[in-house]
Parts: sequence; C-alpha cells; structure tokens
Amino acid sequence: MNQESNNKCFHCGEDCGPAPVLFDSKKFCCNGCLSVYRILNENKLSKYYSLLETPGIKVTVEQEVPRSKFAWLDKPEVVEALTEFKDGELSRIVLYIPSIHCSSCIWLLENLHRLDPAILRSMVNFIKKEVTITFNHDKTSIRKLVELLTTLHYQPEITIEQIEKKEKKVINRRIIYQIGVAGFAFSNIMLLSLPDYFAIQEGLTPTFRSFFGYINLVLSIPVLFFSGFDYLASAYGNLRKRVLNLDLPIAIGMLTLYFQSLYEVISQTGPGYFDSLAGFVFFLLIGKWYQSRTYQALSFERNYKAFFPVAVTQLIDDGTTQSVLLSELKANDRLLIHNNELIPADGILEEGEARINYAFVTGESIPVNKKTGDELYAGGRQQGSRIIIRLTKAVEQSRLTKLWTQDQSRQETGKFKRLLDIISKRFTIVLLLIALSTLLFWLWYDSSRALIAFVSVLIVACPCAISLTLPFGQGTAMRLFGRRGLYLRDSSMIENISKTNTIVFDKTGTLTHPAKHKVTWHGNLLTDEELSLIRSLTINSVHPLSRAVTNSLNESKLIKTENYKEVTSRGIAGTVDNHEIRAGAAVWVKASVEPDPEEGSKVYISIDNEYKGYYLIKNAFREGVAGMITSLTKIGRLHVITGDNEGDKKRLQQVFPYGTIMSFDLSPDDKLQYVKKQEEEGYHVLMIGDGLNDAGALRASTMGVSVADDIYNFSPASDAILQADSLQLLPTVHKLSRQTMSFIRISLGISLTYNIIGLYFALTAQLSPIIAAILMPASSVTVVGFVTGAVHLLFRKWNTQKSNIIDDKTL
Amino acid sequence: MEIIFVLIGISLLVAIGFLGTFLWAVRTGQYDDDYTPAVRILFDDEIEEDDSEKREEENNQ
Repeated sequence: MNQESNNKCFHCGEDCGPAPVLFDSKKFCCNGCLSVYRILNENKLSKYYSLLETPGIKVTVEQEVPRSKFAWLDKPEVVEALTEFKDGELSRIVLYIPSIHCSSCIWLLENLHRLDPAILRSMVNFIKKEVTITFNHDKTSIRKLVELLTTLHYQPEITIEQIEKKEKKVINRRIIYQIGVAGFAFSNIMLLSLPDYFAIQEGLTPTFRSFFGYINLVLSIPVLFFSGFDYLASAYGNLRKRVLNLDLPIAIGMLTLYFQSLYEVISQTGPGYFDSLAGFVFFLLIGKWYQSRTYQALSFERNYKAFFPVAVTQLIDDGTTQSVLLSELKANDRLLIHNNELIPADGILEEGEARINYAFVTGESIPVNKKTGDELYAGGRQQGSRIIIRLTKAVEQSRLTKLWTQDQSRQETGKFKRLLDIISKRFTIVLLLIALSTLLFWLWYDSSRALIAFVSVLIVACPCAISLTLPFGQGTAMRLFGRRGLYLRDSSMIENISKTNTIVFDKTGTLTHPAKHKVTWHGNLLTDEELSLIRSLTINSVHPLSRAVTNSLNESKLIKTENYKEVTSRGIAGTVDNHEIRAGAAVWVKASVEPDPEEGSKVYISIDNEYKGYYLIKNAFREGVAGMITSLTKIGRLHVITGDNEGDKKRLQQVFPYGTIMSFDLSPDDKLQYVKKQEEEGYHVLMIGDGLNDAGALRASTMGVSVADDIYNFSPASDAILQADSLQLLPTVHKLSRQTMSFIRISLGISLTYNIIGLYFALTAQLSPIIAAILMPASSVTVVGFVTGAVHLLFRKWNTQKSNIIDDKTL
Repeated sequence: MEIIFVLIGISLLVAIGFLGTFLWAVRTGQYDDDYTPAVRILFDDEIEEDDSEKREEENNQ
C-alpha cells in the first residue's frame, strides 16, 4: 500500500509505472504532468498542490492537441460569437471546462492573472464547470487564453453550437422572481389575516377590517398577474388547443379565489381568500422550481456538433493550409488530419497511413488500418502520422451525421399515457361536473346560496397537492439516483423507466469495457523465459494492442530491448537477450494465417524467426454484467444489438439467458429501426448504448440510457447518463422507479382525500376562508412530506455501495 | 389605535425593501452559484503575504 502511494504521480496521482519521470525529487508519470508542474512552480503557483494532493489532470500523449489546432480561434466570427461582453479594451468570455473537479482547480483558474498579466480576473462556477475570464483583448486573444488553459491541462470545450448560436445565453431567473414575490405577499397577507384566524373581534373596528382587506387585495395583484401568470397563460393556451390539463383547474381556482375575495372585500361581507391564493401560488411555484432543478453541468441534448471540432485544416491547391470552420466544408475539399484529430465528414484517404479509431462511433477502441483509396467515415479519430483525405460529402451529408440531423426533434414513439395527463384530464372533467351539479342543485333548493356553493367547489378543488406530488416524488428519486451514478435528464424520466418492459443492449462499449481487454494465447505453449521476452518487447509500444499484451503479462520480468523499431500498421520488432522478437500482423511475423471464426484483434508473435502463435485480444465484459443480466430477465425481454459480426455470439450466449434476441451487423440506422419497431409493437424499450451509432436508437426508445466512463465527456443525446461502473445497478434502478411511482399514486390518493373533505364543506355551502386557509397548506405539506419521506426510505434500503460517486454538489 | 395604520404602512415598506434587495441579489447573479464562493473564501492570498514578509525582513535588516 505504502509503496503504491510512493509511486503516485505528484501531479495527477496516477501510478507512475516502471519508469517515473523524476524532477525536484518528485515523481511524475509523464512529461505532460511534469511540464504543468514546472509552469506552476516557476510562476509561484505551487500552492495548487498544497490545497489538495495530486489535483492535476493527466493528458496522455494521444490526447494532446497540437498548437496549430487553435488557429480558428483567431477568426473574427468565432471571436465575436464567443465574446460575451466587450467594452473598450476589455472582453469577457465564458469557457466550459469539463475537467474542473476540485478546489485546487478553482484556485488555479482564479489565479490565471499570475500567468498572463493581460487577464484581469477569472471566476469559476464550479457547479456549471465554467470559468468567466475578463481580459484585455489588445494584449492577448481568446486563442492565447485557450492555449494557456490547454497547457495547464484544463482544455475548454468549445462547440460548433456555441459558434453558430447567435443569441447569447440568458439565464432564466424568472421563476426565482416569481417565488420571491409570491412568498413576500403570502407572508404579509397571512400576517394581516391573523385577526381572522383567531376570530379577534374586540377593538377591531370595521375600518380596520376593510383596511386589512384592501392591503391584501393590493398585495395579491402581483401574485395573480406576475407569479401566477404562467398558469393563467398556459390554461388559456391549452383551452384554445382543446387540451385538458391541470393548469385549467389551477387557473380556475386562482381566478375564483381572487374575484370572490375582491367581491367580499369591496362589499365588506368577509375577509376574502387572499392568504389561500398567495399560499397556493407560492407552493405551486416551489414545486415547479424543484422540478426544474436538473444537472447543470451535464448535457443530454448533444449531437455530433458537440463532439466534432469547430474547425479543421484545409489543404489548398497551392500547397498552403488554412483553418476552416466545419460549416464551410464542401465535397472535394482536401483536409489534413493530424494525429488524434477527428474526420469531420466522409471522405477518401489520399495520402498517409490511416489508423482510425472509431471509439466514439462504435465503442470499439482498437483502431482499424486503412489504405490509400479506402473510404473513411466521419467520427473516426486518426491515430498516428498525419493523413490527407478528400471529402466525398459535406459534413451534414455524411453517413452518420445525416442520421443525427434527420430528426432533430425528439421522436415520440416511446409515448405512453403519463400518469399526470390521465389524472389531470379526469380530475378536470369530474371537477367541472361536480361544480355544475352543485350550482343546479342549489338553484333548485336555495338559490340564494347557489353562487357561493359553486364558487366554493372551484376553490377547494384546487389541485395544489396533486401538482406537488409528482415534482417532489420524482425529483427526490432523481437526486438519490444521481448519488449512485445515474443522472436523469429530468425527473419525469422516473416514470419512463418504470414503464419499460424490454431491454435492448448495445454490445460494444456498453456491455464490454472499451479499455479493458481479455487476452488469450493461441499457439505453442510458451516458457516463462519467452513470456518475459515478449513483455520486454511490447512494453516499448503505446499501441493499444501492445499495451493489452503487456498488461496481461505483468508477472514476467523485464529485460532490456535493443534495436527496437515500430512500423505503423505492421508491427514491432527488437532484440531482447540476443533473441529477435517480432509482434504484430501476420505478414510481419511471416505466419500463415489459419482461418479463425472468433472476433477480435490478433497479435502474432515470432521468436528468432520462428512463428509461435498469436494473442487474441477482445474487449472484456464490464464488471457485474452477468449478475445484472440475470436480474434483468424479470423485467422483460432482452435484446442485444451490435454492429459487429457474429463472432462473439458464443461469448454473449454464456452471459445472456436462453431467449435473448441477438442481432448482428446492424448499421446505426438499422439500430434505430430496430428500436422503433419494438416501440410500435407496443413494447416500451429501455435502450442502453454508448456510442454515436446508438444515438438514433436511444432517441427512439422510451428510455435511452447512455453509458459513459467519464460522464462529462461526450455521450450521445439520451434521457439519462449512467456512469459505467454503476451499470450493474440497472435492475435496482428499474425496481426503485416502479416503487417510487407507486408511492406517488398513494400520495395522489391522499391529496384527493383532502379535496373530498373540502368538497364536503363546499357542497353544503359552509366553506369559510379559515377552512380554506387550513386545508390548502395542510394538504400540501402532508403530501410533500409523505412522498419525499417515502422515497427516501425506499432508497435507504438500497445501501450506498458506491462511495466514489460524486455527490450532488459537484454537478 | 390609528397608529396601527402608520405602523402597518412602515412595516410593509420595510418588507418591500427586503423584497427589492432579494430581487436585486437574484438579478446580479448572486444565487447562480451557491458552491464556489464557499470554497473561494477559504483561499489565502499568499503572494501578498510573502511580499509583506519579505519587506518586513528587509526592514529588520
């Protein structure tokens, strides 16, 4: 244990491996981490390391971006789009930095002015993971700021959408103002209504009563027309569209309360129901606000635009290069793609050795080799030397981007009748019927009390408690899920999960781990000595396959390698202990390739020109997958869909029970159609995917969950983001969502009981302001208390197995 | 008892003052981030301290 901590990188805390970089008698895992340390140390910012141990962010060589990549940030239209505020020589920009994670990050990012004097001040919003920088645009530029942040390994994420969006982001604080006004009016009206609550008669002259009445009247004007305006507007809009929802009884209740009170105050017949009105609006708004609180730092609506670079390097005929915005690209443009850059549109490889990693598209992280003239698809990442491609299509016409852009609007195939819609429709109809029959009954029986009875029904039927149940029940469940690694788009998704009865898995990247490999040896039995020869050779290479082999042999000892060489897309070779070792493709080791049905990448090995066999490397299943699948069978049918061929069928059948439907060789569009078909047949699909190729299917399903190893990194548009190491929680998530919905139903029952008690007073024309003033808050408080308490108890049974999940605060 | 009219008027004015303060605080973004300021306040301004210490040392010499 002790040794392990000693081998941690001083900057990022990762294990330094066998060869740490030493500096200042501190260990670093790589030169990247060391260079950040040196910059900070030279600028007297080493306090970064004293606030928290190993706060740094590791950026591997593959992730590093070349400086030239930021040239597009100098384009005037980009500068204009990013600048939030400009005055004289000062500019202000807001940058989203997903890697902000601790208090050291805050400290460093707020001390940027010590690294660049042109920065006047920088402010971090930790929850949103944003930094606001005010700087002198004559002395520095956005490009330089981004480059500075990138050298510190805090790379800002700038997306095409940010550039294209002309209007600036406006934070909507309207609901807070509305709550403030309603709360102010509510408390003051209650204060002025105290004499009525305690039936104080003594010393209160009628002047006082009407004085209090008029003040209440004035105080409730902004409550009705500002705080409650959205409800009135929505009810009116829905009425015109002939849609019945809960806003209609709410609006009727509010207006009835107001005008009845207005009448009572002016005619001096009573104190009116102003306190009930203000309290009603106040509670409703609190519920609405609670519902609107979602994870601000996570994005659930990303499409390819959030993930593609904003600009690429174009090669012009005369041999020079220029930085072009993605939207300006046309077919037949020639592009330079450097190491680690994305291919933005479909094209043909013209020059260079392409090793394309389609991890973002398919979830498969082992790169594929392409020859000159091969077709390359948008979304792949080049790994290796730079290549030149000629585009065959513009960005928006490319195979994958087309799939994502064709229906921007969320499809409503996963539609089912929402509990709230059912309730509100029935509630409204029943309410109107009761009110009308009351009116008719009293007109016939005692017409002098008909109007008051009618009005009373409308007042007590106000669905305050009903409309609080869903936001609080689902909102609590959403937050508790968040503590365990499942982040929902909004709280109504709880209902979607509870409805699902079919589960569709994407295989690659979802069930399997993109970075963990299962390595098996096929060939002659190797001696310990040979194993250590192989490990000594492969440890020199950073190729993912070499790494996988190296890691699988970590018990063998290391010997020095001489004459090491690496040939792209062929293999590696070297002399170890006077033996010549080669590892790589079949041709590289001169092996005769025997046909092998099993899917996976192979690394062939030869020692002293004698072919020994090959390593078969497959993505390993994620932890706990087998156990999870057994419990999922109780929910419904399981499907596995994948873009790979049938090679893995056997392995999948070991984990999945008999009866699981498996489909292979599916294109992204096939996946979308597959899920659509299930939905159309009446199944509610819970789709679990991870790559961009699942984006369509995720959107078509009732509940699309994208699995991500790092939740702040890219994930396709979905209803929820699930942290990959919480994958085994899926069955529990389904069960808890169902139970939450049952408690919500019970809670709706409780609030209806209150409405019925109120109705008794109303129907007998006995309702007084004091009864309304007791009933309304009492029902709201009990319902909210019941539903949040019940959901908390429900989740308490589920012990928090995961302690490493970030808590709500950081989201 | 007529003083109550005045008192209520004053109390309402005070309450409106607080409401205004609240709305102003929201509008200037003071409620937008309820986490970072709590962390920020715990950072010391070490550079300035260092400078003043040095100056003190120099003065002592």
